[in-house]
Amino acid sequence: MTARLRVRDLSVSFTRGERVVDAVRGVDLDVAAGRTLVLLGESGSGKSVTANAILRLYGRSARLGGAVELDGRNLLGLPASEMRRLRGRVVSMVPQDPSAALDPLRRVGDQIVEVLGLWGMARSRGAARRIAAEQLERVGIAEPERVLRSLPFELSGGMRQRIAIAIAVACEPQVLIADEPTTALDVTVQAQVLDLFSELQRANDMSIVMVTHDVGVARMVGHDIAVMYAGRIVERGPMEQVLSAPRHPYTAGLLEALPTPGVPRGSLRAIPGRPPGPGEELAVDACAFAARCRSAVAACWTHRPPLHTVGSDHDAACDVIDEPIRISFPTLERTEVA
Amino acid sequence: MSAPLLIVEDLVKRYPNGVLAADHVSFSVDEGSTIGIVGESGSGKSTTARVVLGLEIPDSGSVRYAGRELLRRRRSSLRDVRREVQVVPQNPQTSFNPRASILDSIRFHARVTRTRIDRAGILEMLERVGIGAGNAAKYPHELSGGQLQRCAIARALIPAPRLVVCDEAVSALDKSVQAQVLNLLADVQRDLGVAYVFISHDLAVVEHIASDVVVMRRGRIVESGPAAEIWADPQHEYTRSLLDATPEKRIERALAS
Repeated sequence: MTARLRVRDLSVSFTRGERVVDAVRGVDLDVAAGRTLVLLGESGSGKSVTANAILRLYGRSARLGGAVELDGRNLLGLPASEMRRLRGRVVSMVPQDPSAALDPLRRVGDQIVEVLGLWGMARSRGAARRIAAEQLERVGIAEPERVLRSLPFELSGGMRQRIAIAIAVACEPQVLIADEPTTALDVTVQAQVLDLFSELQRANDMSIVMVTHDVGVARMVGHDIAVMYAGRIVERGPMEQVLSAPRHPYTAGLLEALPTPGVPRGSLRAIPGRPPGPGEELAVDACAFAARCRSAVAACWTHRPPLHTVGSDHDAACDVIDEPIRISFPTLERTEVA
Repeated sequence: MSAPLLIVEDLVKRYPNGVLAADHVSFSVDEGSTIGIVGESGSGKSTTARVVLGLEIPDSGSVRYAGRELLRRRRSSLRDVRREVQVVPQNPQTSFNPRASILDSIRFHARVTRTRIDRAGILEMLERVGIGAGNAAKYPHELSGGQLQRCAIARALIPAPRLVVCDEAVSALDKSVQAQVLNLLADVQRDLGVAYVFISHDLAVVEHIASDVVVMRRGRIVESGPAAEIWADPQHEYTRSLLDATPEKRIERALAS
């Protein structure tokens, strides 16, 4: 697989007063054309910061290290003006909360037209309006004219997210970053919006990086997955392979913690403790998951295992586990009703 | 068999904007059992919860708790009932006073519910839900979402309730922490015999925690019955579409084909 987007040793730290907070501590990612990579993690894992750093959305308070290469060009080295030209056009983003991304006081049409104007997509207002309507149709909005005249509050959450997606893909970007794009939506709407991502991807051969905490969402849309914990990738590989035969105890633990039919009430296999926040001090020479890990041995506290190859395109950062972890993933079985 | 602890009958609530949030809603909860109310936004599940909690007055219908009608009564006559019906809200960050320690917040809750409990009693309850004495003196912003939700559970249990309404109580938590809190709720029920009205949009969570499920849509109950049956064999078209839309079911289907 030749990667269109290559992230190498990405690190992001923020200065908060005297303190330095390491949110991302060395992340490598590869995304090919037409593929979707899911960044799966819990709060504080660094998944959103990684996504934002690809677009260089952070100001001076953030220090970025490593490289984000798009077709061989390092985005982190580009002048700000050049980055602005790429943003939205070549690399675009769908926000988590479309209600916050849209101006509540301006009509949807005016907001899309403004964006199209910024990107030089249309010669006149009339032309921009026509393109805006086409874009809304493309994301499955049945009455684009009515929606263009609407204010955001007059529309449902699903509709607002479709609009945000329409804006994000208007310039047919090569790479689309989506940060929890369906978290705020009802499940039936979520399914439609996730299908929409797949449709748009097929039409454009777009690369998608999708950030989610939801294993179900990950499995629906992702070709590949990178599981993040405490600012690092602990496991990555093809979606089905990683989820059906995980090689990192954290991945396995996350899957087993899901409430699924057949698990008796009160007997969920929870991971003890909680994920470390980005501000927490982590020992340099220890596995960040060791404190919560069932499989931890003494060496886990004195040596941080790097990612190593465990299968075809499959890497995991655990030195203890040397075979696929057998987990029952009961969602795949039907419960029999007596 | 004894009478249900809570009987909600024919609840109707129309908001001033014309939205019919509860359209003849009826269900009951047995002592020590869990009923799950599932629905999407606008389904009326939260309105129903608010009526049970006495935070919303319906247009008509009846809510009977332990044999007593709760609607159309003077508030003061219901004080003892109110303390027996507690809530664990969705967002613990906003349900605790940011300027009070956890201990003080819970002490305040004990006072307003007229519960006689000393500091040791509160600490014991916090210990019961997995919060050590060291964390009891902390402020909400010093605790994680999961820890705070444990505190909210402790707070709800302080007045010795027989019914706890959990309104999206685990929705905001990380999945690895969500499992801990679901296990805790099950332990508490086993040990203390409280009943839960468990409101959630997450069908997998409800299927796990509840013995019976009510599926709501636009103010109406479209289907109700044992949780396992509804998950395996939904009868109403809407329940089916709701289930089909969950990632778990879609994957199940994709793998089956």
